Amino acid sequence: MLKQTTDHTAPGPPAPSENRGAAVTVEDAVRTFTRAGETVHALGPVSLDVRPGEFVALLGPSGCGKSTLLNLVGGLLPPTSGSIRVGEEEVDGVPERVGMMFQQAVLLAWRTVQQNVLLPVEVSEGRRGARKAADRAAELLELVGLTGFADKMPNELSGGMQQRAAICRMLIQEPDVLLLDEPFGALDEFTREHMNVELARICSITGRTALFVTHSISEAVFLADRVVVMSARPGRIAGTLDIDLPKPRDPEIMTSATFQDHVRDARDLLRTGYEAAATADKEA
Amino acid sequence: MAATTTPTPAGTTGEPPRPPRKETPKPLLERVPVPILMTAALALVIGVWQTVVSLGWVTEYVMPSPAATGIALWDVTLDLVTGGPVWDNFVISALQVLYGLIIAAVAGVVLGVLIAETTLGRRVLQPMMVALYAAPKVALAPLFVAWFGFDMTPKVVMAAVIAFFPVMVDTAAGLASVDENEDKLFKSMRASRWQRFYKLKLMNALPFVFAGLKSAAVLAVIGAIVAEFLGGGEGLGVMVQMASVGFALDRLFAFVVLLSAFAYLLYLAVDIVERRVVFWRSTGFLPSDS
Ligand SMILES: Nc1ncnc2c1ncn2[C@@H]1O[C@H](COP(=O)(O)OP(=O)(O)OP(=O)(O)O)[C@@H](O)[C@H]1O
Ligand SMILES: [Mg+2]
Repeated sequence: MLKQTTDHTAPGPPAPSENRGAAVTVEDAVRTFTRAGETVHALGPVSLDVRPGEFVALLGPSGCGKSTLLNLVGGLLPPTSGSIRVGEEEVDGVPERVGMMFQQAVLLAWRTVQQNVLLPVEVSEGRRGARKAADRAAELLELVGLTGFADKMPNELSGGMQQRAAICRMLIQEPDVLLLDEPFGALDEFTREHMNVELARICSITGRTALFVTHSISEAVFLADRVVVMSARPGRIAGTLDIDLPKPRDPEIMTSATFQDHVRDARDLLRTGYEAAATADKEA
Repeated sequence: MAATTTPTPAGTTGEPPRPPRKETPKPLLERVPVPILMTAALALVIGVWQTVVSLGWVTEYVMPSPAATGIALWDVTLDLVTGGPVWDNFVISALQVLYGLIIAAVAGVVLGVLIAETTLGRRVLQPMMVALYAAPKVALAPLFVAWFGFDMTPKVVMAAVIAFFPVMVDTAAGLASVDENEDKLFKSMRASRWQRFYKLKLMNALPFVFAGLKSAAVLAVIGAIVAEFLGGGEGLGVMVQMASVGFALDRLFAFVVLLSAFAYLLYLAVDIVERRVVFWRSTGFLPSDS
């Protein structure tokens, strides 16, 4: 079901091959945190170029600054030094046309599923705008298999269903760049695989740029055009891997030899990242 | 339609039927229904009370017997429902409590918001309020009488002054307790400060506000009665005062019971409103699948 979320501002839906994503450029970004007089060097310097429409997966050990990097790109945190651009614009505050998704669904308990999905529209265009977007919300809910749950309260949904509602909320304003921080980390393996297939399809149909943080190597290889591996804190880029598997990908592909090769390469990169950090620690 | 035709909601699949579990015996106090426990406790208290009085350990001047109190309570209640002097005084007291509670609710929420949301509130209002909170406000009753006279006003003021503190404190605490992830979500949606306030923080604070209002309901009764007690005029507090001066301790006890019942009903009323307003919070009393 290659269903398309129609862009109401554009004349007709974009062709499947059209890239509506924006480029993401990170240049020498560094972020430190100071708490109680102690400074933690969390990230960088990191430089990363993401092409419009590219799907980049970020892999790295826990605490290496993946979430920090995503927050920098999403404008939730300013970099200590360096610069970040989404499209042509320097990131200063949350950029327009960016949609974020977190490890938890973060649905507001006092709103129905539909009201939660429409929340970003309500925030930017008011209640009337949200009412106009109701059809789009229904389409999105159908896209993720939540038809019939629009008027339920979040606590009536399972974890996977809540996460799917959060996908709809992220997509409702048709962002050009998706920032996903372990969005399915809290789900069981089967649901997770299912959600990954959905996400891959949504991204490839509309050519959105995606930056996807995960702890799962095979998830990264399955979804991404490029896997970026980070080393332990302070996070730097240990290496990148181009994934030349054809798209759209079917979960079956995970058993193929090429897939397995990519997984092994990514694992090696991760290990060198760890070892580099370990020697750096010893020297320090 | 390849992938999307199979989305059985994750929670409804799996879950193999559980083997019947052996009941672990609950402790006795867990098994007996609460109303029975309450009745038993009450009976025990009355029993001890009656014994103490019957054996002459304390004289009836100091401690009326449960029987005498019961009769007095009956008299007072009869007077109340038939529209006698007790009713007239009750209406006055009840109105004072209600006005005081409404003022306390509005002032408490407004000041709580100011303290939680503004620098001036946090740095100037908050320390002032803490000092005021520590002050024995009951001692101000004569002052209120001097300022506002002998009618209802000083009592309403006293009820409001005593009752608004928990509303203010809980409102401020509720606003400060916003979930970090929800706050991040709102920031990521480029929500304005005002939108973050009324679409997120205020909703999050509602259960706290109601907790404060419940305390306030009870405190407003205390405030109004104490002010009547000290300021005179009309009201149940004045009747309590008269009963105590006339050593009619059985009547005094009866009034205390009556006032407790009133405060309890007020508390329940707030609770009922809370269940309607904070509907998304399953309180656990109602079956969730109805
Ligand atoms: N607000 C903050 N204040 C202080 N230190 C922080 C803050 N946020 C992150 N850090 C520190 O920065 C480092 C990187 O954190 P970050 O959350 O980006 O890691 P991560 O790669 O996302 O880890 P994980 O995979 O466990 O989610 C950590 O050592 C963390 O302690
Ligand atoms: Mg993280």
